[in-house]
Amino acid sequence: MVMIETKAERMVINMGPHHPSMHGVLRLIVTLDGENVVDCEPVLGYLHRSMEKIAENRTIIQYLPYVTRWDYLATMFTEAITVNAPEKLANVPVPRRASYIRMIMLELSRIASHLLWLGTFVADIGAQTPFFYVFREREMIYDLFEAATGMRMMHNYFRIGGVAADLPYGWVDKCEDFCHYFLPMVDEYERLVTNNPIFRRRVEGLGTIGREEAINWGLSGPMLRGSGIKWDLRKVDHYELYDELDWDVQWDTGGDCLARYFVRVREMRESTKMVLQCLKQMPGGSYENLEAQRMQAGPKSEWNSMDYQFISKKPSPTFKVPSGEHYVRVEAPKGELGVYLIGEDNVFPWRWKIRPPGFINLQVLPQLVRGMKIADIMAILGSVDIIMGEVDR
Amino acid sequence: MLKFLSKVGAYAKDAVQAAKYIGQGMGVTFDHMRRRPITVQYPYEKLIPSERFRGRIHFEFDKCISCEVCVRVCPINLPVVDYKFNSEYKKKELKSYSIDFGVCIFCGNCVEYCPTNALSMTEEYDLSTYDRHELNFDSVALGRLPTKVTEDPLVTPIRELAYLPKGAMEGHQVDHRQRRAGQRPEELMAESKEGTEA
Repeated sequence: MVMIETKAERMVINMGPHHPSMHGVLRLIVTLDGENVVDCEPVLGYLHRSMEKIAENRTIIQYLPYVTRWDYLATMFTEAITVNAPEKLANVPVPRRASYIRMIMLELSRIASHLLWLGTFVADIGAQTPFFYVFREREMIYDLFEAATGMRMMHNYFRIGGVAADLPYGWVDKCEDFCHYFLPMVDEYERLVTNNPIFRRRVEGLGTIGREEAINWGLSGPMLRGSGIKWDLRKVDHYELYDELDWDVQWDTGGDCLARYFVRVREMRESTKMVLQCLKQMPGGSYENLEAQRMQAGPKSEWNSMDYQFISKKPSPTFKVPSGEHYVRVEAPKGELGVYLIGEDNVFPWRWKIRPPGFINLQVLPQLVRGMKIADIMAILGSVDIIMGEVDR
Repeated sequence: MLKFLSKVGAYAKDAVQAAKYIGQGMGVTFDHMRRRPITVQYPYEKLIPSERFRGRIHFEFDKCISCEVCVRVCPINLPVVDYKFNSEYKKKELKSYSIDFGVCIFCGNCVEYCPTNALSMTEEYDLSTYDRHELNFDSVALGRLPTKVTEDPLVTPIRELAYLPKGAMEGHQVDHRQRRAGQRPEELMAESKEGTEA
């Protein structure tokens, strides 16, 4: 009797850089033993555009339109860090109103990023429907962005010392509308996905990373918080005016893909609440209210004071980055987004090192997928939430 | 025997749970049968670009003072400003001005920093051509205005979320002429006056 040989040689296959469910142009060289992953080696650099080098011969104003191309799904954060770094170096004050507008934009951007993550993550696992639902709410956020900034994705809205323009008429009302509309929609996603037995079996206990290890690998964002560490730069660094809002760091102890899912979904709710608080607490309230107060109180009213401006002083095209070096970071939806800036009293920064969260989070991938099945690679990679635009820069 | 029965029980419970949660998920999908589609049927329907929308750049030749600020704030120094210094009047005379929209990223820096407002943004976004050189607009092409979506008889204009009335979440539901959210400052002033008088 002839027996079928089932023991196979190890096989090296190549996933990407154009794999349909690969996030961007990432290439994984995977060594397989049957269906089990023995090893995995990510190959980066397919989307490398010399973002750091380009920054060295651009003024901050010239460079601002570029930065939305790092992490093109959480665009506001890249702009925030690009203005925060020189702002801190040059000690430029930011009016309170501008800071509130920034927080609103940042949190909306976080929601948009997490929404798209949710869609692609469950699509990686095999659920196609939420992917389409997710775009409905994301488009609404982008509508709001377009009204305030002029573009849906490449906003170019943040400026050194504030933002480019005040919010348009009726924007605050519509943003409130959106927040009230959005919370039930998160419930809807949860009903659709969270307890779904197929989803649960695919992600529970998958890609587990422990507390200590998460710290040692330098993970940040939901990857870190999913492993039971309550670390959120908005609480740690006290930047913008996050301290004036009432909110909690969302975290989970599982350390697996499911925990990361929970963290992100809860973060969406938390962000919605933060946007609502910002809209209420914003100095001067909506733009139409501010206008009315100014018209009523005349030119010398308190409503024209620093607190109620959207920018402290319009940056001149020859804004100089002062000498000195420092590291500035914000809590982007993917984790810690930082810039290490060296200035030498020139219009161009001498060095502009970007610390993208996706790049640091991605290095843990080989360890996470080792010993898993090949079908789990996509689920784990999805839960890491990487954007090649910022990984390769 | 008891072990077997508890196993069967657990399995049945699992199956019921699974059926319940899948049913719950299907409930969400079937709920969409009573919702209208939110997709915009371009080109029969078009979204009205926002007021701040950064489309193709408009240029007014006579306002330009050839200061070249637009070139300096542009990430790639794209605008081509061709001028000659007139020694008689001690002024720069603009000869031609062009922007290549095949390269422009519509960041709006030039518009923001133009000291004389010679530059402005239009709502034109469909710039596709068969030849990329057609996108290199000279000062005449830059001076043309696009057609408005709201004035095109072939198109149903649809507003974006930020311009809908308070409470409306979808552009198809409301006529685009209906008033958008947010009160006028005059109305707010009148209201606050009534409040103080009463």
